[in-house]
Amino acid sequence: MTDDDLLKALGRRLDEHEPSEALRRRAADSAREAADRARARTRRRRRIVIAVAGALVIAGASAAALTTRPWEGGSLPVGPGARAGISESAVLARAPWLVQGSGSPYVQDARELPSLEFPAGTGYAAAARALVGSVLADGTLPERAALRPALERGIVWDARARRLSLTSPFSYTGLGRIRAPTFRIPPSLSPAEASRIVAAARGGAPAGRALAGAITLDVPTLRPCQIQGGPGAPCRLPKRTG
Amino acid sequence: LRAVPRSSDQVLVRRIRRGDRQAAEILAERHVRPAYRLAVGITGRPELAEDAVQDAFERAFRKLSSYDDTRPFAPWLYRIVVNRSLNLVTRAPATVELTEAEHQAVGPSCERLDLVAALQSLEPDKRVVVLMRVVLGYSPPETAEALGVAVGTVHSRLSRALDELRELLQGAPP
Repeated sequence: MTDDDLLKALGRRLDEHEPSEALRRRAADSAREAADRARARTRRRRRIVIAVAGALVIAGASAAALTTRPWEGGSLPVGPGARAGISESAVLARAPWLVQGSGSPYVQDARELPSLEFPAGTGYAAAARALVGSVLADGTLPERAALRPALERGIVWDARARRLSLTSPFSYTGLGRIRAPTFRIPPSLSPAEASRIVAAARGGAPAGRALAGAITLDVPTLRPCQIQGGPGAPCRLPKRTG
Repeated sequence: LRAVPRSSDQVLVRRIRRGDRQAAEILAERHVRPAYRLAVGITGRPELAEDAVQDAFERAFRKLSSYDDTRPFAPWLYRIVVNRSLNLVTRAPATVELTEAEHQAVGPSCERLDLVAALQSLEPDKRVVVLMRVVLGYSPPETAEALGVAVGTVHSRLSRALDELRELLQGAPP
């Protein structure tokens, strides 16, 4: 009997074993309990805490942009539930644009993270918004996107493959410093509401969900060299000495 | 509803982390059958296999937060199943003799009886690599990653296991 025959015979034999209904029920119960625990955790933490640090830049008569920068608590206005999700994610927990841990904030020497591939028809702006939306919502990566290997260092968006770098999804400066996301406060908000957001962002004070939801991602404009498949050659990143 | 069953394990796990019970049911149902067959192969006893799988699922879903969702879910889950099964086997008698009733449950053909009995006589480490291949269809590199051992170790265990199985079957009475 060859190895293959032997393995097939054993496979046929084991295929005849079916788990009992009781086991299937208990397995499903265990899984459902995990979902229930997650739901309960989210309900307990309804209030979103704005935990961003940054500077307010006036952009126009009544609109403002809230620039965040990474720190150990994260650079997005996430609630405790989402923050827990971030800390549980192997990717997000070490994303230099989100959490400033021990990694470098420079794209030249940041630890490479995977990229996210989005469905057909997704552009860079939609991908960036989806990433922020998902992280804000529950601290996870967008579910309609799939993890793929890292893009070439310095590339932010692969236009052909619709892949977004998770190392620097919001671009980086000319020197290579990875940018954190920037948010825009819409002009429709009253000065008092805008002030509350700014105060919350600066002071880490709790803010209502409606206010947190009012801020929108200020999608960065990528340089051609940051786009794979774009018109420019890859960016020349200055060497870093330490 | 129709799209959910086609979701990857990772997507389902993310949904569970958001409190989605339906995703939880789908993920459990998807893996309970192979997990059970794996456990049957390791323990050789259906009742132990049921215990091992139940225990493994409880543990896995209780510590779902520790699962790294950038890596495949199945090997992570099955490693827990393997460990729970091995734990039960090492607590049970080392050489498992099938009772007459279990022989009946195992199946009517001599080939089947001999294969299951022979499998139980292999060392647990060898048994596991054979089962990862047979039940889960894992290649040696995939098995190596799931078990946290070197690929060469998997190759040598598999090769020795198959040689021993063949020897045992040839030596068995017709």
